[in-house]
Amino acid sequence: MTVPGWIFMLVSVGTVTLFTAYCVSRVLIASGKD
Amino acid sequence: MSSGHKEQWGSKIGVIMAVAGSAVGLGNFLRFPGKAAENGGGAFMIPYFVALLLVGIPLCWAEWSMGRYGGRRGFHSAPGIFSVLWRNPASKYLGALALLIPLTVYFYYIVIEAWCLGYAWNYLTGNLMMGKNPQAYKDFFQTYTGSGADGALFSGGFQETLVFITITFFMNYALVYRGLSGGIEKFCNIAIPVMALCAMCVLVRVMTLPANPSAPEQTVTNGLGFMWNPQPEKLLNPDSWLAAAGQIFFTLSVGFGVIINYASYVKPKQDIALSGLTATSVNEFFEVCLGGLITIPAAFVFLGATTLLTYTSSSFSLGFMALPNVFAEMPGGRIFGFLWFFMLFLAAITSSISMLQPVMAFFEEGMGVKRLGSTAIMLVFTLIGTGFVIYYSKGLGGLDSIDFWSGELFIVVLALVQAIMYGWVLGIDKGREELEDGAQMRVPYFIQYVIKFVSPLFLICILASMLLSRNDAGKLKMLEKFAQPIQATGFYIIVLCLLVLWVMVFFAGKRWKTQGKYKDLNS
Repeated sequence: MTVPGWIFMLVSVGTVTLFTAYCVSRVLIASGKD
Repeated sequence: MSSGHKEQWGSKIGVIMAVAGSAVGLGNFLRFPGKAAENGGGAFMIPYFVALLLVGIPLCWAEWSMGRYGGRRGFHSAPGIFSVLWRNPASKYLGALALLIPLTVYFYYIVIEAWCLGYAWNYLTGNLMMGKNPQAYKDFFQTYTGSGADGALFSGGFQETLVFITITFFMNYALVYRGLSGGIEKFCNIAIPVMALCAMCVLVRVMTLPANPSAPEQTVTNGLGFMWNPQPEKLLNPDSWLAAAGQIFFTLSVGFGVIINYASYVKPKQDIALSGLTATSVNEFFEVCLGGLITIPAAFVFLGATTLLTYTSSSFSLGFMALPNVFAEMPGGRIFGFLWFFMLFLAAITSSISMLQPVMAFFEEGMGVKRLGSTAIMLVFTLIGTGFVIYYSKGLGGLDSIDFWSGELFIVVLALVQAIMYGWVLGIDKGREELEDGAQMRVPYFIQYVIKFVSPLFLICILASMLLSRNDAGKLKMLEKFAQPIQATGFYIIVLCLLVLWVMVFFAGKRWKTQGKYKDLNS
């Protein structure tokens, strides 16, 4: 696997994972407040 | 509501899980990796994320907003919601498109769902552990799906496939009959975490696979490279951009008629902006982080690049022919094969139940039938349509024809109609007001301009490229489709379904007028 391959994979997978975790945690926090 | 009770989602998480369940399907695990590997590897993610930001997320928000807007005014079916958005007699007939697509896609989706359950069962019983023999898995698939000849599954004798189709039909209807929060929501709340768990187990197994002893260069790392190494030159090819846009449509259920219906059951002051974004991101997690890391690397280790390339062009080849070779050689392959196909089954069933709900909601509010009645009418429709798909199984022709017309062409048409409805009919100011009412996040204002101008333009380009693309002989590919009897038949079946739905919509409109539903809107 090339270095650009690692970069594309890690950036894509990392961004999606972090963004999903951010959204889900915000929903859970908001649900807890209700 | 005409059915005598008002349905609503039980919780905020419930509606997100249901929408994510609708979006996460076979395409996340089988279609996406193949498309990415074929269209530039890691570089494919550039047009993919561009399409997600310019079309996927904005149109999701548009659908959520229009759905809740209609739901607040007493309508849950697309014909009703469209007639609220655009006070013109023609609007409800346009809304029928949002019934046609889930109805007709269901005709074949339930069949693929049954294959997944059947394959999971055959892993559990060990029947699919046939060793390293690619032809054996191709033969198994052909026998199982009846793709050798039309009517193969009705040729007499015990047909396991028909048993699993019957079981999946029963499960689907049992779930939707229990209603929105009692059936669909409860099931998705369990199915999505179970799917994630199954996928994680398979992912860990794939990532810890040793190199293939007979071909030391076939390692997991090189498999990841096969999927992710960027080929920037592919970005100069418009087909890569179209493939990315098509994948976004397919994966997010945009233009499917499902989100607009699901969002109509959201409580009036409940957030839809963050909910829509969360459902989208959950779907992306399944697609990019699980689908993107499992399928291709696993197949690469056991099959190698040359053989793998022959499978990537078709989701069915990759999923049902290539991967069984992989599980046969993988330590613990029987259990991981079961987990994989059971996860695909869950992904499929959470999608298929979402296709039933929009049409049944229309039967209930448009024709005044109760849940039992709408279930029975829907069962008759889908049995006929699925019967066509099962009978015309040669080369999977029946399935392929409905998939092309409804699953590829008409979803773009409906997405375009919805973008225009939101951006130009409802208007971006009213749309923004609806989206931000109760919102737990701020949606940037430029998104409204994206929905009004960029998304329709993008969709028109996709539609034009589909309608105007030519083959090597210079003939329009679309017209060529009609030269194939099975493709033409599939088209006529879809048109027939649309005509039947239009007749129903006509009587529903009269009924809503008599009930004074439109008067309430004017006051």
